[in-house]
Amino acid sequence: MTITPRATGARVLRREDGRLLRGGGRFVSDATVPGMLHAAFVRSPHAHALIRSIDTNHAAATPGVVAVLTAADLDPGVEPIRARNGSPNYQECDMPILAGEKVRTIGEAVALVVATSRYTAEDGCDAVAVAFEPLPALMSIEEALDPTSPPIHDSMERNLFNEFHTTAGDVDAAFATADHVVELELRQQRCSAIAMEARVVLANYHPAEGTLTVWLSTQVPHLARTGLALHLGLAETRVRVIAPDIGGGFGPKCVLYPEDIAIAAASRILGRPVKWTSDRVEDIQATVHGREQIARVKAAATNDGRVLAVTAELSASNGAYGPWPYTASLESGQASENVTGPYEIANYERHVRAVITNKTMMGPYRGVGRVIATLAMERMMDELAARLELDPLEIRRRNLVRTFPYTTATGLRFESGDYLALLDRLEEVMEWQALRAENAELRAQGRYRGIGVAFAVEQSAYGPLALGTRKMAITPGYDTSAVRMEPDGRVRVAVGLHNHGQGHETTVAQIAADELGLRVDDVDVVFGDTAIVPYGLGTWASRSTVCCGAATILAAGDLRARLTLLAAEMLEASPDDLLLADGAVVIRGSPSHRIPIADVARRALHEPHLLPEGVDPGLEFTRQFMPPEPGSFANSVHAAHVELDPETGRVEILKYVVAEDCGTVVNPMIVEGQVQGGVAQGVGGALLEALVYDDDGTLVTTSLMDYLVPTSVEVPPMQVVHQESPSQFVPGGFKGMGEGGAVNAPAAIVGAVNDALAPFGVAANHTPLKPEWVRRAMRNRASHPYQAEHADQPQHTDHEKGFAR
Amino acid sequence: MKPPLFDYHDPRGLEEALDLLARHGDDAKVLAGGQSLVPLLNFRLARPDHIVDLGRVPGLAYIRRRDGVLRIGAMTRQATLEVSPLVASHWPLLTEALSLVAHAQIRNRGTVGGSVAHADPAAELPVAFAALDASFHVRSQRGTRMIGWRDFFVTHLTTSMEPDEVLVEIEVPPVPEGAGHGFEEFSRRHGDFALGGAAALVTLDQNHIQAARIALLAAADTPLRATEAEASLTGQAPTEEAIAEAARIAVIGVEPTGDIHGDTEYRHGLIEAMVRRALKQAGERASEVR
Repeated sequence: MTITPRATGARVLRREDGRLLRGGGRFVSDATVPGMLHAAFVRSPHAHALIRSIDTNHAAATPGVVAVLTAADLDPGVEPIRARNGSPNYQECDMPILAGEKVRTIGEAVALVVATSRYTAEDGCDAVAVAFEPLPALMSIEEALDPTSPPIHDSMERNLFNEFHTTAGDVDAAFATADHVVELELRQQRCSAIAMEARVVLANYHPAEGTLTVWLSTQVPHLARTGLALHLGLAETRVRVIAPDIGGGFGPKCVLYPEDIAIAAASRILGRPVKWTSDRVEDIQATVHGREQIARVKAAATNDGRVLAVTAELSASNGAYGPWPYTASLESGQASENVTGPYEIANYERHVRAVITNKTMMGPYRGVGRVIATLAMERMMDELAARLELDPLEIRRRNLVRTFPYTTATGLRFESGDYLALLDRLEEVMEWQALRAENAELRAQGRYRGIGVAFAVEQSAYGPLALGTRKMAITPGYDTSAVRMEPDGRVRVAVGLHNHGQGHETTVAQIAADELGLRVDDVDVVFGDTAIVPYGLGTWASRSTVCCGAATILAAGDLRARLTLLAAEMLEASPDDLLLADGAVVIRGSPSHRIPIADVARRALHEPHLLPEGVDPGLEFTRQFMPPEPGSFANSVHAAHVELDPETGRVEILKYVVAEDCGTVVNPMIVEGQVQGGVAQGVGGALLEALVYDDDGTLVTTSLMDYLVPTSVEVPPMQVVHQESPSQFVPGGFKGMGEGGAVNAPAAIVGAVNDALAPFGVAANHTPLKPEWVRRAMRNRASHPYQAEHADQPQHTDHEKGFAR
Repeated sequence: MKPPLFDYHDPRGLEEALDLLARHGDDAKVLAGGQSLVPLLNFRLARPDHIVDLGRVPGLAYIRRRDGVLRIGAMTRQATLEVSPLVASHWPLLTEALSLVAHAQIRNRGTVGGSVAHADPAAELPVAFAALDASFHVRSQRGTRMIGWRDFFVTHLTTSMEPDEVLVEIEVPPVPEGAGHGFEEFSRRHGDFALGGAAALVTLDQNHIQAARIALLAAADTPLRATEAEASLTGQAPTEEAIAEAARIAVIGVEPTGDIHGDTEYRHGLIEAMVRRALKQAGERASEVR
């Protein structure tokens, strides 16, 4: 007898790709309902303004327009969105569904036109006349925090969502005894996730039933259902959210948006289905942004390169509102938890601010907070290495965590790993030393190459307390899997996660197949419909394989136990002697004594009269898995090798290597795909992407001609190598790894560029590194720091100050 | 991102198209490959009352060489011109410029005439035609006229064509015997509009430059020829120093418009570097030919 090889660890082709690559995916845009109308929004052209009047008469008379709705037309049951946060200093605010009195950011919706087509809806928008009275716009963190600046929300005294300060260990003593102190200010730009599919909402309120069905491009169908029910005054049982195939999430589609509520409200008012498809301009203006943050960091170190203490002052420009349900403490709060990275640094002080500005609200975007945290820590490591004349790898070696579990100064528990071995592996695959030598030779010939490294720990699958301490109103820690065997012996796994590119349909099937001795093809995975799947919290923060993978192992274990009991009777054997393999229940050591699994399934489901006494019918088991506190911690290290063109300022990435450890690798191909996709976004963040506002608060990068997402040409080929340190706290040993690619890449690329710039005495402490900046940096050969030249530039339009070493 | 209402006309012959333009004049836009106009319509930045689509007008797509002169029908797709062996062997500068136009998908739809009539100074084709001393044939009910490239490009997105006129043919004279060519540009991503660029043609006489042409991309509101820099090279050996000096002269007085991707100072230096690279490439190719 041959035992089917374990599916876990195999490069199983992604089953979802068949339909997606053939154009057979079903997206919200593909959904139509008879009688469906189309909506478009009138949006604010001002960053900050009072609304004096809205005249909808011409719009209402435009051919094809069915209704024009403003704040005054929304029924009283519709509530503004309020992201609740119980932290002591947190200031909550209301985000209107349609702005009625004041707009606080460009692109904020002030009216909704419903028409027979998107064309006529936009004609209607053109005909809506809104009289705005512009107010001064507070676009930078500095302006917003200036005590003379007026509050953006009347209910608050200061433009701060949140501010807090904590200290662990004895920071002052460490700085007092340090041989070296490095201090840096880093600026990270605003980014947009740019999912290929922008947001889409199709709402169908059924007046006779009093039910609402919403097809929504969301990563979190059940959370979206809660949000819709809450803000529309409906019972959750009367709301169904269907999130079919989704063309990319990356975090922003975890958030409840005013448009979601407005479209559902319009359907309820009109008694007709209404669809809204965000166009790219709207997507860039009104889908949450990410990343914008300033980090002022300081490290104290000894002569032999041991970092004793770190302080971090982190201020994020959160925009005008807080995202539901995550709230505005996300970006800078999460950054502050991760600054010390993979290093053993017991003394750490943080001062964290979430600043209110007249920009689009920031929300989750792949790698929240950790991108700047990693950039800050790795920049300090490189500065120290340069000062102590150590190899960048060596200084990291001297500081990496060596014994596990290790609890950081902010309470993160790194459960397992071998960071030193991973770094060794990177050094070898990157050919680090050979490239360093080659760079030095080429530098003598006037060619500027550099090499950089970035190590980060990736918190995934946040435990409930990890989220609970953030005092969000909803603490989504666990997730659910329902495993059901059908009469033909095939298995259907219904999960609370959502698959939108991560390959979960394949990963979960691999896990279930191994637990049940089936082929991967015998398992179907369903998700994305609150009427079909068990209650779950969706896909974000690299939680799905940990939470739903482990829940699937638990539920499949229950199913296996039931099948074993039944088969024991049928085979006249002891349950302890049975195992599931090759689609059969087999007597251990006696492989010819077996019974096909389908026979056992039929017994359970169709022959209840033959059930042994004490065995319940049915083959359906639902289990939740609660991740360990405060999560599961993968780790990875990236290295980049670049060359700079002094004439154009181009940064060419010559080589890129990732060594990663996410515990048990279910499907190496999928893990590599996640790494590659993350690195692609990291390349964008390091070199290309930036949401730029002008001085009046106008967002000028509202098309893909100006917001530069890397194409396949800009993303370098990369080599990904694995090390497996399974989590001892998660069945299956999984650790989440969806974000690390995006987290390490900017720090690795900036490190490489700075290495190449070393002869010029200039180092970058910002992203993105535009060719303009690189070229200028290379023309300042060890003379004037570029900083002085540009000190008077407004900082919100340009984060590109350089700092002399 | 849907266009406002317009009347769509799809004439089946040139006379019908000219009749429509004569009647609707200023309120009409001519649609060729749609790679610039359709986005402008979708952003509601262009709001013409009439669209005259040349897609079904026969006889406007051809590539011919007669008496050494290249004639390109205005509706010839950029991709067709890009793979033309005739163009590659006699006007390789054009082939090279075309490979830099946006992306393959855009070149499949975009037309040669459309790019010229759109008159974007950061587009490759107008710059290549400036370097090649091309002329443009335009038609209206009032007749045909031929406009040299210098008179054709007026300013950013503006040509000297009247509202009732349509571009029908691009005429490119033969390139001097033995000329080497170079076309260099730099963009932040593959396929984006370049932040700066240059086209060059160089002919050598023994080891000296007999004639040089330099056209600048994204340097001003139209394609520019750097005539003083061209003259500075005549009779010089094609040394790095001579080329660097010509590039320096080429950008004297040039003030490219800055934006978030690169300010004026950056673009100025970039164009100078592109001129240097294009001249070097052209010079090397010219010596290979000889």
